[in-house]
This record gives sequence, C-alpha cells and structure tokens, in this order.
Amino acid sequence: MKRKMKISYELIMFLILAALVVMFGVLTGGIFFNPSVILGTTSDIAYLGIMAMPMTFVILTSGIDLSVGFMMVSSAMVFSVVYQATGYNLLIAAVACLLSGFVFGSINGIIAAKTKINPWLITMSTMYIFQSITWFFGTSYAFSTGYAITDFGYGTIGIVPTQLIVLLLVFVVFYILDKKTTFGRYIHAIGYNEHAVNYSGVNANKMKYFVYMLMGVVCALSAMMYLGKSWQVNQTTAVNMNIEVIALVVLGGTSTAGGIGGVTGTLFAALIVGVLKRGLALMGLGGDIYNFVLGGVLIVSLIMFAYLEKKKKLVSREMAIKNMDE
Amino acid sequence: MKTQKNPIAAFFTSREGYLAIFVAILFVVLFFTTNLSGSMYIFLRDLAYLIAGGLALMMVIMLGEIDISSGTVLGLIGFVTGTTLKMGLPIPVVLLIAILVGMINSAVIAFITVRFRVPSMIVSLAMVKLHVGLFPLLPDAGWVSNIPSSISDVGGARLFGVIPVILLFALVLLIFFCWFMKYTRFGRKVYAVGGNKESAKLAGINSDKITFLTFLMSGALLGVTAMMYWLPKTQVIPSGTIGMEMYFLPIAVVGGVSIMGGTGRPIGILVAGILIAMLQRACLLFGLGNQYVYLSYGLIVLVAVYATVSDIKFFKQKKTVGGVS
Repeated sequence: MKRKMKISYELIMFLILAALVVMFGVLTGGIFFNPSVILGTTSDIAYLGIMAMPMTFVILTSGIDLSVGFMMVSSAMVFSVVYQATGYNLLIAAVACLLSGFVFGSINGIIAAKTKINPWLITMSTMYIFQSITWFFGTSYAFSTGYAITDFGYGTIGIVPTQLIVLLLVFVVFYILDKKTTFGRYIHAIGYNEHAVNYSGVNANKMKYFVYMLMGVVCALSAMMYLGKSWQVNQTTAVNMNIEVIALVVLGGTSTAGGIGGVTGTLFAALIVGVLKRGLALMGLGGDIYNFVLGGVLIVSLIMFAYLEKKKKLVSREMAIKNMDE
Repeated sequence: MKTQKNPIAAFFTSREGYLAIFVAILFVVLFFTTNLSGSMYIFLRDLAYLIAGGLALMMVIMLGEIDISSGTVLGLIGFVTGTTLKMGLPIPVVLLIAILVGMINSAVIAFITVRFRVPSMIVSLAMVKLHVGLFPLLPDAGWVSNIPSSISDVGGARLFGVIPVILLFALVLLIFFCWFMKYTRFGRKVYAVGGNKESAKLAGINSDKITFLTFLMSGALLGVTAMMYWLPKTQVIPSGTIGMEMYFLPIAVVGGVSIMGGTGRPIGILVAGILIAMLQRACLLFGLGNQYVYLSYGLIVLVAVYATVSDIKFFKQKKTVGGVS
C-alpha cells in the first residue's frame, strides 16, 4: 500500500514535468523542444539542485539550514582569493574551497550536535556570521575567476551540459546514501523520533553532525559551479537563496516535520523549477514574476502536502482500528 | 516560596537587571568616547520602532512559533501607507490601514500553521519569497518618493528637542503589554500555550484560537512598527527591508523570551531594544562596516539562546512564567 503510493507520487511529478515542457513548447512555438534548449534549462537550477540534495537530508532529520546561501558565497570568495593568490592554481583553489565548506558546515554541525538550540535558530545566526565573512573579504574588488572553471559551469560534453552531469552524479551519490546505507536509514529514523534512535544505541548527534557537514561540502561544490556559470559573486548574491533551496525540497514532497520523503522527489522538483524558470524567461516574463510564482506555488504545495499527510494518517488510523476489532 | 522582595532589588537581580546594568555601562562608555549626544535624537527614534517590532516578535516567539516575514512585510506596509498618505488620507486612517495589512499577512501565516500543522517558520519563509517577488511588480518597484514634508514632520515631531513623540507611543505600547501579559486572562493563556500546547489543551484552553489571535496581534504590532519606521522618512523603499527581521529577533531573544516558548517579559524588550539600537549606532559612530553589524547580530543571538537553553546558573531565569516565582 505504502510503496504503491510512493511510486504514484513520483509519477505525478514526472507528469507535471512533461506537461510543463509540452505547455512551454506550444506557447513558444516549438523553440522549447530543441534539445539544447531543453537540456539547458538545468543550467539555471543545477547549483541550487545539488544544494537541495543534502538539504533534503537536513530536513529529513527535522532540522533546517538557513545559512546555505552565504555558506556558498563565502566558499566562492575563498576560492577566488586563493586562486588569485596562488597564481591561478586551480587544484589548490578547489581544495581550499571544499575545505572552507567543510569548516563552515562543521560549525553548524558541532553547534547542532552539542547544544539543544533549534536548528533554524543556529543556522539563522550562523547565516549572519557567514554574511559578515563575505563583507570581511572586502567590497571593492570583484571576485572574478577568469575562464578557468567556465567549463565546469557552462561547458557541454557532447550535447549534455556539464552542470546536468554534476547534478545527476550528486543525485546518485545521495540516492545511494539514502536507500542503501544504514546512515540513510538512521536519518529517516531521527526525523521520526530522535529519542528512539538514541535508545537503540545509535549516536544521533554524530549523524546530525555528518548531515550538516555534508551540507557545507556540497555548498562549496555548488560555489564552484556558480562561479563557473556567472564568473563573479558579491555580498548580495545569496540573499534569499536559502528559500529557493528549501522550496525545491518542499516541492519534492519531503515532509517538514521530518522522516518522510527522499532525494528523488527533490531531483524532479529541481527539474520542474528549471523548466518553469527558463520557460517564463523565454515567454518574456523576467525573474521578478518567477519569484512571485515560486512563493505562491510553495504555499499551495505546503497546504496540499499537509492535507494529504493528514488524510494518510486518518486512513492508517482507521486500518489500525479495524485490525484491533478483528 | 521565596520571601517578598523589594521590587527594585528584584529587578536588578533578575536577568533583565543584569542586562540593564550592562547596557548602562555601554551607554556611558559610548557617551564619553563618541559623539552619541549629537545623534541622540536618531538613536531614540530608531529605538521606537525597534521596541514595537520586538514586541511583535515576542508575541509569536512566546508561543514557540516564529514569523520570519516580519522584515519584508514592513516594506509591503510601507508601500501601502506611503501611497495612501500621498493620496491625502489623514494619518490615523492610514495607521488603521497599516494595522489591517499587517494583520492580513499574519492571518495567512497563522491560518496555514494552525489549520494544516505546517511549521510557521516554513510558511513565513514562503511569505518572504512572496513579498520579495511582489516588490518589483509594484508600480515604480514599490518606491514612493516625494512624500510631502508636512507628513514627515508629524513623524519627526520631538519634545524638548531630543525626545521623539513616536518613542512615547512605543513606551505606551510597552507599558500596555506589560499589563496585558501579566494581568489579563488572554496573556496568561498565551504563556500556558507557549509552555506546553498539549497541557494547555487539556486544561481547557483552545490553543489553536490563542495561536491565531496572537498572530493577529503580532501583525497589528508590525503595522504600528511600519508606521514608526516610515513616517519620519520622506520616501519609501520596500526592498530596503529585506533582512530586517534580524533587527527584531535578537531583541526578542536577548530580552529573555525563550525560543522554546512560554517565558519572557515585555520589560526585557525595552532593555534589549536599547542594546540593539546602541549597537547599530556604535557601529556607525566608530565607522565599522557592515561585517561587524552582521557578526554582532549572529553572535548575540547564538550566545543569548545558548544562555537560555543551557544550564548556566548565572543566566538561568529564576522566574519561569511571566515573572511569577
């Protein structure tokens, strides 16, 4: 019963994606069916999509990470500063960037694991600390990278954009972590009941630390993709980026109460939002209306999911009562 | 049961008292090392809207909920009030309109939170996205300029040259809430629901109704906050309010409102409001950049919350519910 419902939900997501593609294809007079355009829709969303994968894990543990945007921009600034200081050495810069992401994520993780403060409050205050770090790097000079990692952000292999390949790779890694390892099972368990996990002899705090640490590392990866795409970042790049990432996770059907959901839905949500963004742009409606549409869609889907979950709970309760009678 | 203490002595041995002593020392240091007296009027004027906004956030945090859209909604209200003021409506009518817009915004959040059991943090995040997306769609991107100086003069009215009139309004509001939270049935119910929703329900309190009404009150307070913020200014720039919830959140948290809900006193908002207003002014007066402002907000919230949730004896609040031992 439960398995059947899960499959049908992802099918719905796929149908929405297909319907959107067909709709925009008809509305733009066939431009949208061009393979390079349709694959290119991911370039707007890939850097958000890969951040949404670990964010799914964070929300599965019934936590949240509001600091993702500024974590990404801080890592991107570390990258470009190291890159320019070492005489354009790509390898050292990439390692420094990932290391800084690891450190930022670990700060969130250690506080989340060691104290009893709510995750959103921790990450909201670290968001402001990371924002101050971006200002400490200075306001005057541009954090440009030249053309070194342009291939990473803009290039294509054959006809497929590199960004899409990175998104799919990250998805596969997180899918395996989610479905095939004990780590993934414990993450769901923490979301359902953290005390039960602790009493069954598993260190829930350690798991939480790993989840937030992964978030930081993937943010650093996303920073390199963003730099490759748009060549420069500044202090206002990441304002409200956290909402966009969380929106992808929520649209993907992950419950904000924790426990229910998975990365597959998040991937579909990312693809849908990518199509929506590019489709609106092709129709001549800019980013302004996109923000408004996304906010509206987010609120509607929040209500819808909550309603469905309530119904599901009622169904399972009725079944339990029936079983008791028998 | 402790013996009855002198109320003044009780205040200075409470958490708010320690904070007040710290704030007083900071004030003296700032007063003698910088040109604080020159910008005293602006300092007090900022304090007015910080107190009102802090009260608004205190109400929802006391329930264990949160309203992150409390920053950007000020921009929305600012646009509405600016436009209606330019149309020539009298200020009291515009104030009512501002309160109405704030209440509608909070009602949406409260309805989804209460009816569908979605965390209010996620709902208000979506509202932020909606507001930010709405600003560029408004005429002139929501900018309202050339507001006649006869109106901004009303907002900037002052007594004895330094005391802004709107600060007096904010203080009246604060005193009202001190009374309201302690001596009315509704105020006690808010503490009860914030402390433990399920227990409150079992004790016969309709916690959903209390949550909804408290959100409405918070929305009304945000309307007043927006008026206090925009009235002394001659133009309204809605996009400038993005991130302003971080002015109010430290005030509520430092003021002693536990983020888990159920504790806190409005008098703490006054002390914490002075602290944050002074911090903003200090960063300006010392010529420190944005980085120190953001860093101080982040660290203050972390330390204040850590002090309330952990078992540090020095900070631990002796009075659990609303100042009754």
